[in-house]
Amino acid sequence: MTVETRIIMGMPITLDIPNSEGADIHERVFDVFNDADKRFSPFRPDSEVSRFNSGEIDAPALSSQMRDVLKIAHDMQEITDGYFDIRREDGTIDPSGVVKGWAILGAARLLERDGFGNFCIDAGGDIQVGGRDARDREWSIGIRNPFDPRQIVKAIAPRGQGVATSGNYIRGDHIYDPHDRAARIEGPVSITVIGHDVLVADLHATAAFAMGEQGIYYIEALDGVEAYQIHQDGTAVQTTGFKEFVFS
Amino acid sequence: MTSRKFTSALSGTVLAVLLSSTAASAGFFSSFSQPRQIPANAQFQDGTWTGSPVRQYYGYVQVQAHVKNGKIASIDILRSPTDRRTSRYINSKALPMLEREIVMAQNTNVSYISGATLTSQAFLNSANDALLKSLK
Repeated sequence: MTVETRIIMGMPITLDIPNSEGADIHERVFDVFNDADKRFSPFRPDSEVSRFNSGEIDAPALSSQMRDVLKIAHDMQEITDGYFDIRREDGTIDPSGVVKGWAILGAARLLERDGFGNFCIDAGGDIQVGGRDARDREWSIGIRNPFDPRQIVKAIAPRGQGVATSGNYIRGDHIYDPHDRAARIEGPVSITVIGHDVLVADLHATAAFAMGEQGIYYIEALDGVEAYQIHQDGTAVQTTGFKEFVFS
Repeated sequence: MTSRKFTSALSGTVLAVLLSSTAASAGFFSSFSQPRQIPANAQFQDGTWTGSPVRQYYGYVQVQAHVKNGKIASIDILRSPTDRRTSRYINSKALPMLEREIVMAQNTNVSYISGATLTSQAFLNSANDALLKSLK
């Protein structure tokens, strides 16, 4: 079997690795996520994050993986003018916003290192593809309709890149026009970002969604990153280069 | 996590359970106090199994598990809570420069679907229910 799903970190993670019959590659890729969960979960008392938060371990004693994640978080905080922030109000940190994309990228690198150039990793709707699918076609990715989860509203071909969606499918953000409190502007419910890899896509999707209506402009200003932002009123706005990835 | 706002709406206890999950899905689910638990070494029966709808906030979450060769091939979301009080009002002043369109469902076949992460107790309960139905 070349496709398998497991639930790790509370989300379904699907590995689709064409021509991997008989290999133990799925097990080893799932372990990348298990390891990330063990190290970074702020809810496991024995995780490195928890022990750092409790003061049990000091900054100089942190693992290289933890330093890597903290560096990414720090850089993103600067790039986004504070919209991306892993610090909690109580002064502790929760790097989950980095770790998901970081783990998917780590899994993709393991696959490539072991000679599996064709793959799709879908971790809770954030996706990294490599090469082509089992029928030697481009991997095709749908953008979920935030108003009906059984539907898609776009089909895109990421061509080796990463795709991530940030959103709130429970309720859209209700934004009020400060100049006219009575006029309710319907805010974004989701933003799907295509980036060089899934970590880049995920980080920018998180930051852009936190910016509300202006998120799409933040993406437009970035090089090599495209996005499709869906609003509560049923409209969508896309960045200039997004069309190049759309095939329907 | 991608949907920070989404997850922050969950209670700390729920997140603690979600994020302390372990490797095998079956073993993970057994950490919940369910009416009937999935044993760690469970064998799943091939087929498509639909979980019960589980109420969450503004609606229901319902998922479907596809089992192939005794393993979970995919978990599809059939229903998720949405605020359907949408209007067709388009603010002409907002976002003037970028191309805007009405979102429309596509019937293109795709390999996978990108969407906001559905990490919630309701998702896990519906998935658990679907997998219980597939137990041999």
